[in-house]
Amino acid sequence: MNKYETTYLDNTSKIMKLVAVTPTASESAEAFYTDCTKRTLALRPLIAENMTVLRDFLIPLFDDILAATPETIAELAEFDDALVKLTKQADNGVHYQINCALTVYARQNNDRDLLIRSLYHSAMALYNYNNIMRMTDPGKYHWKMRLLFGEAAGYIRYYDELENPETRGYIHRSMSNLALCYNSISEAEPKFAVLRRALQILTDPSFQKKTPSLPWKLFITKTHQERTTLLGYMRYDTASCEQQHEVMESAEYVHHEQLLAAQEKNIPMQPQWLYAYYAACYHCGIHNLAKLFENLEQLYISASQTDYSQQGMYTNLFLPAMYTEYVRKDKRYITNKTPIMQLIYQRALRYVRNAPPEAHTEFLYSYLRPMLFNFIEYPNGISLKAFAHEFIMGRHLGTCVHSIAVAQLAVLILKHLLKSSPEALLGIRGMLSASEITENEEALISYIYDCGMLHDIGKLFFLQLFSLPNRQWLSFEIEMCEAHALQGYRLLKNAPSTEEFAPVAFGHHRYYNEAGGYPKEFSRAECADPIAVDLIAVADFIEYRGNEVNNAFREANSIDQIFARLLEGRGTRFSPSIVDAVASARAEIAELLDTARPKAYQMAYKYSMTPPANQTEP
Amino acid sequence: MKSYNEYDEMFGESSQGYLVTSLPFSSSSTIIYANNRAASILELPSVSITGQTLGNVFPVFSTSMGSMDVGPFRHEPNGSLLRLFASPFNGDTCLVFVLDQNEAERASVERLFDYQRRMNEALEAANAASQAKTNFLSEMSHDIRTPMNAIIGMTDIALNYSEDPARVEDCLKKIRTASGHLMELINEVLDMSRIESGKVVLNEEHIQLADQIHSILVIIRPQTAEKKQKLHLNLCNIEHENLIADPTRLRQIFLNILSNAVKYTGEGGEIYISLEQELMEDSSVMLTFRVKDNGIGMTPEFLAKIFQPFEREASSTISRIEGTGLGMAITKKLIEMMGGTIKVTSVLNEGSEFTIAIPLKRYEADTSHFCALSGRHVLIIQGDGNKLTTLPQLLSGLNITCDIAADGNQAIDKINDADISGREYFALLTTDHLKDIDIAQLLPDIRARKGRDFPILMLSENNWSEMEYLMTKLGVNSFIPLPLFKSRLAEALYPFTKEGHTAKEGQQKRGVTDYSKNRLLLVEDNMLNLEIAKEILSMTNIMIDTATNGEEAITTFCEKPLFYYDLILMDIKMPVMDGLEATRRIRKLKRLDAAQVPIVAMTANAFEEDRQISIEAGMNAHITKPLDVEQVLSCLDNLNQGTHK
Repeated sequence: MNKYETTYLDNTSKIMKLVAVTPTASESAEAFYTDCTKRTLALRPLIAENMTVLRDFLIPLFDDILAATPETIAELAEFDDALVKLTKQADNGVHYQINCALTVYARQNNDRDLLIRSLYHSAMALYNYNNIMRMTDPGKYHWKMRLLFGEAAGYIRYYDELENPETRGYIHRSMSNLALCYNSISEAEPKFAVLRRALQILTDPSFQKKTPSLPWKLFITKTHQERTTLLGYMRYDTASCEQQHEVMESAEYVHHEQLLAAQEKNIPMQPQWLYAYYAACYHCGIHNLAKLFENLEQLYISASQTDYSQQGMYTNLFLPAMYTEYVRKDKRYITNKTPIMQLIYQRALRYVRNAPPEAHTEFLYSYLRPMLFNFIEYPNGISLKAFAHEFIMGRHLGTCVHSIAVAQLAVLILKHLLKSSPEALLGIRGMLSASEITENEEALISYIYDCGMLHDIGKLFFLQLFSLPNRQWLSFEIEMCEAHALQGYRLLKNAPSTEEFAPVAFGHHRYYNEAGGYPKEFSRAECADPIAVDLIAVADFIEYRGNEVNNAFREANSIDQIFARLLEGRGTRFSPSIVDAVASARAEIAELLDTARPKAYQMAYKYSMTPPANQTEP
Repeated sequence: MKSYNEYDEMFGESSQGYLVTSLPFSSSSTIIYANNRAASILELPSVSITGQTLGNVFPVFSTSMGSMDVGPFRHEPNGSLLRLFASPFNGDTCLVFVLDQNEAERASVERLFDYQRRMNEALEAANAASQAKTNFLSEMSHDIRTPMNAIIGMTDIALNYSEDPARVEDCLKKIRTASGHLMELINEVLDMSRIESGKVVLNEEHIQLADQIHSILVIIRPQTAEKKQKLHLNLCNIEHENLIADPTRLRQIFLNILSNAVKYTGEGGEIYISLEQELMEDSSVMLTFRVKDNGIGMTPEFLAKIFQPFEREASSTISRIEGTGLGMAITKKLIEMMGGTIKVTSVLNEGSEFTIAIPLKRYEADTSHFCALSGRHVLIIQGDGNKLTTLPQLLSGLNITCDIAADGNQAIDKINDADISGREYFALLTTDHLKDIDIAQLLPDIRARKGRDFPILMLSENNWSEMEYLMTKLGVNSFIPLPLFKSRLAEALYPFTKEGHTAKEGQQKRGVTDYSKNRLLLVEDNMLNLEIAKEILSMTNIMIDTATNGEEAITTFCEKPLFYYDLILMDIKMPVMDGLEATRRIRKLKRLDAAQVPIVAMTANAFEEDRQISIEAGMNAHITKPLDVEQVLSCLDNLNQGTHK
């Protein structure tokens, strides 16, 4: 490996250790804050050096890959392997770029083995963003995956010429993984076709005979597993008999294989395949919906609430979300299933709250996401707002601290406006007179605080992008993360308890004059509370620019710089009345900026140290 | 003597009164026969007249009369004024023509009145025509003055601000626009005048319908785009693209109709064009061109005189829509010259529809080489809209099969399926915009995957020159303009076959021509034009000699050795000796090269009859001013093919 490649790996390794920070009972809240500050400061030079490696060595190499020597190419491939191994694909962006460059090189040099391998890895790197892509614009990336997997799979026509079994393995995997590129309901038919073809080839004895060293059984099982994901399509009741048969066949195959494996190892069957089997039985008419409910309830009830393995998270969070989808099929079920639904939410809340520091936050939140988006609010039951609060406070320190600080700043700005120019708030929360505003001061403060707390909730669906801050984001990663505004909006508007905070999540990054920022879909004219959006936008900007601890990529701006930027954006990026209010409260804001952050860290610390309240199960 | 019946057969149905009497012609002559008309004049039954003497029937015959012309006289029994003309008939009888003088006078007066009426009508028509011409001249003087004022004014400004390049450029642009308009105006007036005096001759030659339509659309599309109008095109049953017609005049007809549609349709309006063909019994093709718009339409009054020269819709003059009022008259005359018809329907404020049907002869072009495309399989990405819906059918006509992808993702699926199953597409035909993937991202990826030899052809109605740079960089090999014609499709695909590739290489080898060893004699009296022509041609490195009139040209030609010049570019109108005379004299010179040296007329007289006159004078070809370098070189290539030094 080149020296710069080693440097990048070493720095990344150090960064991984530095970001693995969780409050412990042994340290005080103040010590925790100091520790966080130190860690952030320690991250900066490492990130800066990684950026130098990227800018001065790796990216120029990618740009001029055709001039690279075979030795450089081999070192690059070695670096890629090491990076994937070290970060568990967390530095997916660089992994993708490396493999794209290798593809170009391999194509030019007619190196089929390298080409097929790099095509596969490029496509897989894109697929690693799948959880995020689903929330952004899948079409934007899926076509590329299709092209990459498809090209690699297309080399099956040269199968006999390709003697390397590993290359042949990539061809088969690409052929099956091509199915990963079809996620929308309208693409079910081509997905069926792709999987049918993949299975046909995988089960063809002539191929198995040609490359006996390949894990054929695994390939076949994985392909069947992917076919069971078409259960999502079957929920729309439009599948043909042939398609139902195919899904059932795969569910049975996987069920059978899993059962054998479980019996062999004397462990319970993996819940996701049991679920797939039960659901397939229902969709194929073997069981009725009552039976499906019964099976799922049994599976859910038997799950351990302290199991924070991926399977445990699946059963405690994802399975109930699927259950809810079936409950939503009929209003009667929503009523009839009240006790179990309430139990699900109580247990889920406690499960998330009790998650130990070592639990995988990304998995936890990605399994929780469908539950939140499918949330049913019951009278006197747990509200979505309660979950949202837990979501914010729970697992991602950066978002938690930022949200608390923004909430505090927003309240300060609100109070200042209430005192100096309440007319500037006309329209907030539907209030149309200054007197109404002043009469409801307390309620407004509480409302704006919650707006501040929940404005960035969508970011928690994008934790994958935040998990390893070993470099600045690539442009497509920035673009992906911009979807957090829309995702936050979609989540919050899902339930009565959070609906009023949705506009703030949606519009806090959009310019006041709508000439810039994101998302473009946000419109002030159609917004239920543009004043709250304006207020949070300013508070968010101040906190983000002034936060020294929470941002490892750059140093915080001084208060002068922040105010200069605010005035510069007055009337364009920011609401003039809010900027004016902020300008007149400069001293208080400067003071709050100094105190809010340590306070926010303390709150996060206390929250993580406080055991959850015991709740009785219905 | 003939029988009564025989006489009746001869005179029975006549509208004139006739009697047949015995000879000699006198009062005692017996009336042998009287026809119905004579009986009617005399108000007597025919039978009562027959057998009587002339004296009995006509009391005026009191005495024997020698004259064969009697009267006019008052016929007492009924008071009518009669006149008799007698003449010997059949040797033994006399034929008497009985004329009712009153009736004859009446008829004569009526004829006179009718004549007067027609005279008045002619006078009115002449006055109306004169008035129309007066109106036209008045309009024209305005129309001419407006651009002229602009030209003069802008020239003055430019001269005053010669130090300010931006200002000068702005002025020049405005001068160009104004002079373009003026030129158009003058052309139409001259055109009309030539058509009316019967001077226009159709120059029929082989045309490709695709060329015609695309050259029209290149002009019309920017105009519709400027007014944000939607242009819908529909080609039906276009089986015969190679036809015989006057391309310039045909284009003029289509352009006239279309530019009117654009002109009289508001912003955001819609214009529908359809082109149909029908094979006639005589194996010619009836080409029907329809243009429908939802523009301002016309009043029934105007519709009745739309094809009359110098007529313009009142509303258009009020709204200052530019025009001479000659366009439709010219169009109709040209269509009629081609043996076609034009029909128009219109509703005020709703729009108009013009239908032109022109019979055209077919041209049998050699397309046998396109059989190299037979059996190929291509992938089509249809993209947005329905612009490529006819593509599969046209491909099928070339015996090419296809897979159709509705969007970019489906195209990727098809490419994947083909690769996995070991099939190869011969080419990818794609639209320029996809609903699901940015074409600028997809095409480079397909190019990278399929390699540089895989043909990617783009079909678009946009101007290729504007997108060529980008699209070529993205991996597009070739362009097929929309609307789609089979010939264009075949021509675009053919070079990617082995046979087509070989043919193209051959063409390219021939195309590499070194002009630096060619000599050209440029004959032009206007020094400014001479400079411009020299400047344009200097880019080709060709050696240029000049002469400023025909006489000088002959002298220069004679001074040079045999076969010295490869080409003489000859202006027509020059002092001392014009180009036609100079050509005639060169051709008559007793030099070996006198008959062979290519002489090309170079003139602003861009009419067909001028071309014929110059050919008759001995010129080889005719190119119009301003000079187009490609046109000159193409001329040189055509004339000298295979004889470059």
